[in-house]
Amino acid sequence: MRIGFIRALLAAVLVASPFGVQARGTNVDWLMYNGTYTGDRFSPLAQINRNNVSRLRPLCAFQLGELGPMQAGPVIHNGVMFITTETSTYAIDAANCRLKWKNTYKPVGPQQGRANRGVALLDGKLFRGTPDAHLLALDEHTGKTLWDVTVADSSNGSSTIAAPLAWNGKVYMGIAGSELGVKGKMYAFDAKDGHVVWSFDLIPTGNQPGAETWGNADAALTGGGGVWTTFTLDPSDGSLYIPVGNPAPDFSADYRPGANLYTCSIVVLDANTGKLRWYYQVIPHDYHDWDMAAAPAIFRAANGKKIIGFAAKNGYLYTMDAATHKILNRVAVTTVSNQSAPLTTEGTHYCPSIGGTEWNGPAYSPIDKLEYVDAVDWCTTVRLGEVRYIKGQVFLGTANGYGTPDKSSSGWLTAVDPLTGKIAWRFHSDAPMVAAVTPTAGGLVFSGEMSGDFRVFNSATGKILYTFNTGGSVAGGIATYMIGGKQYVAVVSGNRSRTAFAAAGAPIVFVFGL
Amino acid sequence: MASLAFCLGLVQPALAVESPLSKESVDEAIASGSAMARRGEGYTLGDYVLYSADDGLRVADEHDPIEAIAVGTPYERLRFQAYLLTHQAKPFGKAAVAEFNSSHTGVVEFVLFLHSRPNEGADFLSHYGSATLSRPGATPLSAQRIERTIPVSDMYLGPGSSFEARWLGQLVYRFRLNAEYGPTDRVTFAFTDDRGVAHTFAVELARYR
Repeated sequence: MRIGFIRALLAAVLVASPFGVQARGTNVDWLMYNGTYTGDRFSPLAQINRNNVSRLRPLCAFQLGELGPMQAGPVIHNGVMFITTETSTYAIDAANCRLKWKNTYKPVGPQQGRANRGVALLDGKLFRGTPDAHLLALDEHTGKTLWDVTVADSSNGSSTIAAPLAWNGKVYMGIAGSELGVKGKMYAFDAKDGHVVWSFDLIPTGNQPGAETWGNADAALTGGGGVWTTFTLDPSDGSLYIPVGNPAPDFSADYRPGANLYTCSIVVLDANTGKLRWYYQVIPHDYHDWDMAAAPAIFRAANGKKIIGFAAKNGYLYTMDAATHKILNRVAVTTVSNQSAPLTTEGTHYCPSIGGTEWNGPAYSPIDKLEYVDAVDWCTTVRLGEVRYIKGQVFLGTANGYGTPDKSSSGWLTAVDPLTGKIAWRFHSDAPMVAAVTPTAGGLVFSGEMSGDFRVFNSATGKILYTFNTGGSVAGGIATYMIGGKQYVAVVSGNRSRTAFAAAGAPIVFVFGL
Repeated sequence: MASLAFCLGLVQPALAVESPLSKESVDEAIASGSAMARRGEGYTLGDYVLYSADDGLRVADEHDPIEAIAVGTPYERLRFQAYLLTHQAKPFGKAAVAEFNSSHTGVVEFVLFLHSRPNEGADFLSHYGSATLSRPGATPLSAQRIERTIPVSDMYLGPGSSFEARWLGQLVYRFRLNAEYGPTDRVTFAFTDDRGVAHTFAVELARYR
């Protein structure tokens, strides 16, 4: 893949000389939601580094002029940044924030998920999902819609809000909407015209392997298993990694006895054929709404071993040996408490609830040999009860919805040695942390907080080196790139979704530089 | 007259509200509820459903917030308690049974599964009025107690085929029957909804154990 090769080449050149040495006159892109196919989010750029980051300053800002969720990850290519909202796609000059074009999609079906996470880029085309479960291809240079295909019927709750991944002539996208009882499905579309190349049922039924894990076959038909963040791909063997969301209904576990594959799992498919290669179910028979939300990161650890790092909403960061699929360690990255206790009528207090690691997953720095992940620290009390009448049967759900959350909440950014599971450092924020985490060859880690703070940490020690309050919740992507030899950092701010993590400000993209 | 016999527990027709519950009925209710939980099923109201909408996941009629009404006889409520306790791996000991019998003797409850109307708030259950139970020739009974659950937000498929969030909750009207009411009587359950509309349902107590 062309852009993957260029990206890898630049990484090889720049990583070799961290902390200050930088190629001149070059462009370094940020080509997908997590920067690379393997999702490690590491940037080889080092122009902004520990020695000069105190001089970082906002260079420009782009106000989107909308109100709504702002959780997208910016993609930067050839000096142009692409950012999405629920229905609009913006192309702006990544150095001065000037608008180049805007494309606004008019939904033709019921609008479900609103928090669009961004675009994929391949051969001059941008690809994005919509709240009514379509997949669009736009011209990268003009924003013109090139094709528009229906992925699913949104009247059943489906949407396509993940940032798709594009590789080898295909665009990968799945349907979201676990809370609405969709039946999860993953697709590969032809990048040229959008026709379906293959599909894979994330909720197996009938004679499909895994259907036996749904003790109530009817429940599988609305079993959830949506995908709503992004995906990871290992170009070395063409494996597509899919983080799969929670089963539905979320808490009414008795309605769906069994392990409920492939919910709360990482499903690995052959990216060319869609055939299942393997899977790992992080949480069988989930009854806490603990999605496997964020895409995993694949990287080479200090000993050369290929590692798969992933974090779930249950509050743990997992390290898996990519060769054996064995879990090497599991580290709590937020408050973890009373997780295996059954729900009770009096109320079961457990942690995390609306927390753990949400849509932005772990990142890895080959320089510090550390993995970084943010998390929400928030506990809740859920009371078991009969909650909803369904055709003569009462769901055994909760009598208080997603629970009664504790009054206080906070967030963590944790740095972990993936080989030992030892925590190198961690930062405790007063506010939940759901933003992207971006380590760089400059010895830095970029991240943000729902309080609005954009933070820059010393990647080795966790010391805060720079803070800028953006005035809005930082809940989306943080990307760094180079245009004409100058390094920039793009920070997405102003999340206004109805998420319980609080939301403030208006959607805006800040671009920082020296 | 059957009323007195009902209170004294002297009449035990094959199908009639039984109160107090015999030891055999207690054992059977607990076994039935526990079995549902052990099988990993939801709790099935079955024959205790007095009224139900066609589809509890769909808002077919915006003007009808009632999803279902169930008749909670002592037998049914005990069965549900057993279901919940088994699900939580808790025992249902003799003391708990005695306490249940004490609190539920002569009691019939009506469980209303409700959702809010469009743009209604989480306090929608508080707008429902009182309820009565009556039969010709007898003094109407007012609900002795009204329980309201904590409303929760959930998604419904609306009339326009789009999903919409509604509050849902339960209202439980509790009646303590007196000597004027018998276990096989034909009674009328009536309540006033949040818009002041009266709803009445004929209830053949003889149909419910």
